[in-house]
Amino acid sequence: MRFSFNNGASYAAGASDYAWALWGGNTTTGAINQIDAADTGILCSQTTNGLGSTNPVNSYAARILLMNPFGGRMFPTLQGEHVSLDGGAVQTWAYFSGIYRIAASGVNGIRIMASTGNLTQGVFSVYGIN
Amino acid sequence: MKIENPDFRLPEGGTGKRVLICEINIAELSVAAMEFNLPNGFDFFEVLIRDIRLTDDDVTMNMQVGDSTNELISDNIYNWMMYRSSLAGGEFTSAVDDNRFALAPTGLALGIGNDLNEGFNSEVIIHNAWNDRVFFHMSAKSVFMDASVSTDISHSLIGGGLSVVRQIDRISFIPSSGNFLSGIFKVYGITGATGGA
Repeated sequence: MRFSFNNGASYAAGASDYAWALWGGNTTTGAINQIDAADTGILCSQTTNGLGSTNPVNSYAARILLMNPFGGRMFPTLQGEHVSLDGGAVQTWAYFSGIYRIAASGVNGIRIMASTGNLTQGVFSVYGIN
Repeated sequence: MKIENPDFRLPEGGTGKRVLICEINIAELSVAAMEFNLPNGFDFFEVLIRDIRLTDDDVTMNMQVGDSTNELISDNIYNWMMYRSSLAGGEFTSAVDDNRFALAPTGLALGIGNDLNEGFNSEVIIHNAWNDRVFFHMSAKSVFMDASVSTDISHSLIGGGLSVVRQIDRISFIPSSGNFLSGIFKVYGITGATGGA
């Protein structure tokens, strides 16, 4: 995931724009811990068992909370959890968090994208909580 | 105890809503399981479980799901993982081809107690209910205190899914032994502008 601070005109993608941590596992190899202190985006699924496309029922489901989206005093941060199947239909799952580490800027757009290829189906719902 | 929602209707309008589908306060009842129907048309569901007191000591909390052809599915199609943190440290457990999801540690010595200070609390997220295209998924966070071993807080993160596609329309929470004595269940449906999956 990447953040926009100009209503979607562009998305921050600098090499050190984000930091993230992820903890999860899968039913084959066990626990997985991943972390990156300087990345171009926030990882929202484990890469040890990447999301698959070969199995027609490979799927990704997640809930992500964006905290402090309007910035000002604290840097924008998110936390989330995902459950999914990898290309070999292995059950995977992870909890993750990330931060935009450059400035306390107000987020007014998010981009969710696959590391390669495209999203071919699914439902996204974005809610505001006040 | 089975909770039906036959007259429930989705809210009208084009904006997303978080709807309280059902709230059950178990007060001095003794029931072996709590089962909830999931109305069609929601993006996902949240189940908040709090202050659960059980009749038995050192048990785990199981969740099973069902569809129109299976009241509850007890086949070995459940896969799940759990990370538990406590004073004793962290522990990862998982199961493949199980007959239920576990919402609390399965080691009995680490299980949920039945004293007043051992209440079980959990938030369960249900993905892909009523979906005949992709696998059902769930995730959960559970917390309770195990006072029988020590005054040990137990926090568990859980994720899981079914290994076959099923159109899930009900869920059930079942202690591994004994009954529910008290506690509160709240089931919320989350729907978006499109009216769900």
